[in-house]
Amino acid sequence: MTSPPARIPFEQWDRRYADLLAQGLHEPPYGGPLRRHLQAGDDRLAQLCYDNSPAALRLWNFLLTEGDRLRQARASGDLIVGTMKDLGTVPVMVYAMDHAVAFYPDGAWWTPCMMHASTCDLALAAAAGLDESFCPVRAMAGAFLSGRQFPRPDLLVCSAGATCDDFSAIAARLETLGYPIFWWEICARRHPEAAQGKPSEGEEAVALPGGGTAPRSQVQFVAGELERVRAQLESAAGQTLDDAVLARGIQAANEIRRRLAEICRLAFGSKICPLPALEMLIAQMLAIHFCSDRAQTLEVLTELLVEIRRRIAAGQGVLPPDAVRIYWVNPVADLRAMNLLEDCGGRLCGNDLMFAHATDEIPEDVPPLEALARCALADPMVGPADDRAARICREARALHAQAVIVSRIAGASHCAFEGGVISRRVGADLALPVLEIEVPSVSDALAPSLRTRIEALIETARRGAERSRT
Amino acid sequence: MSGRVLYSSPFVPPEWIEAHGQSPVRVLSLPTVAGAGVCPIAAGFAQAAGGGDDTIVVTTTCDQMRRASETIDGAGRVFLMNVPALWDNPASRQLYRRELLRLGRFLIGRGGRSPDPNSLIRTMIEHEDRRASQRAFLPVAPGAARVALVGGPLRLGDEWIVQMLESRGACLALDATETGQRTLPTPFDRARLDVDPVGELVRAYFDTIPDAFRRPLSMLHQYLSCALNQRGIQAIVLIRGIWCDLWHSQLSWLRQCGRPVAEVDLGGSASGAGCDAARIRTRIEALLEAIQ
Repeated sequence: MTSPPARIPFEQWDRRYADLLAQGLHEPPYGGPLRRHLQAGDDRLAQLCYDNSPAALRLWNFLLTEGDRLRQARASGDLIVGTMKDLGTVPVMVYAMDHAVAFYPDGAWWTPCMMHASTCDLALAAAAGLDESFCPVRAMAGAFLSGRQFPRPDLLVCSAGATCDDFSAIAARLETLGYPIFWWEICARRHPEAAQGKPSEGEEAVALPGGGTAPRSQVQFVAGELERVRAQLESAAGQTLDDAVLARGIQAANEIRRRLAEICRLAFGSKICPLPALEMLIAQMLAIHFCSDRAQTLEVLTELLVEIRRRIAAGQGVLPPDAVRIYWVNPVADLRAMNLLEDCGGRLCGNDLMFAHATDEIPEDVPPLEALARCALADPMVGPADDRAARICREARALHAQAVIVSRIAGASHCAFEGGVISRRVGADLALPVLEIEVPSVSDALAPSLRTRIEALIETARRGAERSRT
Repeated sequence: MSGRVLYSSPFVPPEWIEAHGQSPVRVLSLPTVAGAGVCPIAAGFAQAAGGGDDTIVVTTTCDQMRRASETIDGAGRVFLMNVPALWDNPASRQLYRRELLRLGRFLIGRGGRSPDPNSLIRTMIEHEDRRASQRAFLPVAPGAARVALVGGPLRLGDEWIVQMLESRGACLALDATETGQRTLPTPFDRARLDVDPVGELVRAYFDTIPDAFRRPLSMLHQYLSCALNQRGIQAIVLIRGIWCDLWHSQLSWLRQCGRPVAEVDLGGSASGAGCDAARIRTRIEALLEAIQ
């Protein structure tokens, strides 16, 4: 099982899997060859490149069997909560309870990529009035209507207020189609008011995970909203979700977040690249709702971490040592873009996938709902784009990024203006080249253009590095 | 500082601004050419409001508008007001009230003054009296097709759409756009005004203005169902900025209302001219042919 680390195309995984079995590979119940997911309809898998480790195989198998786990949960009578939009906060509350799972129907936004637009539920979404002018997350509506991706949740909880209009519109449309939603309000994060001549009258600033601040009043407001969510969850589950139970849930979530932080520290910070960008993206996604199994998430991440450490100790990476270090902003609707970055000579050295608040540790020294409120307010999407840009700059600097790619999402309301704000800030603070691209769900038609632009960026970054050296 | 306060959202009470000794100016977006994915209404507002040293109040009622506020030059003169989405949540209502008070403090910091209750009440009554005429529906000519405009704001110069309707023998029997009657606050309760004028602002604005950003949507849908029936509407024009998902997503619901609907998007080109206008004209003409 100690083959040299490599990125391998899909067709090589059959052989690799057979070799691993012959070498005594032990798999969890959701294990198996990748090909079965292709046969089940995840067409895009055939066009991707993968890390060749058993840890990566387990990661993919875990990701691609979430629907099975949700159906098992339904069969077992567990409470299934569809949490929408907040990306990372409400699931911590749900998993604190017994016999309850949370998942993000939002995650269906990758089905147009994985299953190709022609075979997924987009037609159903379009028939419901959510046409191609909307963000790919409209696939979520199709998934609800078809019932093919996941079982109908027992409860839907969605944040409203400082959210993307496209998502909010799609969720509201779902509600009119007969899927009741429990809404909770997330306010637009702002900076605490300064005192006007009287220092004692300034607003109290509360530190948020990730380094920002918010006024105490906003933290209290969001904590109050999460109190309403708590009451709703208790009612749906018939259980008490008191502070002690919540605190244990936060501790468990933090254990996962710490594990992920270590993976990111090593994968992004090492001289060699121990894990490809695509697997890093998937690993990070696990943090938001634990892929419907919190305990397994920890095991999957632990195995990845062991593999990463082993590779670093052996000095074995998956990319050439001179790969250009790229900081990537926003998740990509087409997973293949992560492969493309590496094919062009780049290497992921950090990213902001819109859910930094789901990977930062949740405070454990304040009451649990306040801690979760701080976490929700740290969401980069509920605050000013300039705050987000400032964090991107901090991380890109610390990770020695040589260039930044801002990947826009077609039809997403936040992308219209934030790209410019981020580009200007990165240019001003770091003097790094920045590339803005738009990646559709299936980017094959644009691949030549994307490749050219990414290659040009990497070339520019290389020249910049050479100039710095001389 | 000019003393002028520019805003566009109907959830910003002009009487609150005026009571702080400032001059409220509701700004319509300029028709503007915006980039791919960029809402021309938001970009047009940023363009119309940018420059100078006017105070600018932007709300969170629209994600693109919220984010466009960051592109306006002049840090310190832009106020982003949280207008909560949940209309049936007491905490959200309280938040709106606190935001009004925060806006007041901001205006004082920009050279305004703290309003005494009597002057606030007087200003509120004056504005209410001025709004009375806007509540009256336009007379409908006998035999004219009764059309409703529903949707987001009209921009400066978009009046030609109404003129075109009228020139084709139809009449605007309901203006439920953001710049129309839909967003007028409910009349103040004079008895409550004396007790808690700020609370009355909250009731008149936050409690009653229906909009596509508010959750749940039942408030908007109840308003539209009622207004469309009361006004005997025969056809609906859904009007929105291109890329406006909030209003675009209302199309399916409107189509279930039993009347023909034409959706027109306000693109990036100048009002009344170019292919945008031709497209809008054709759609509306087809709608009118269907009912006449």
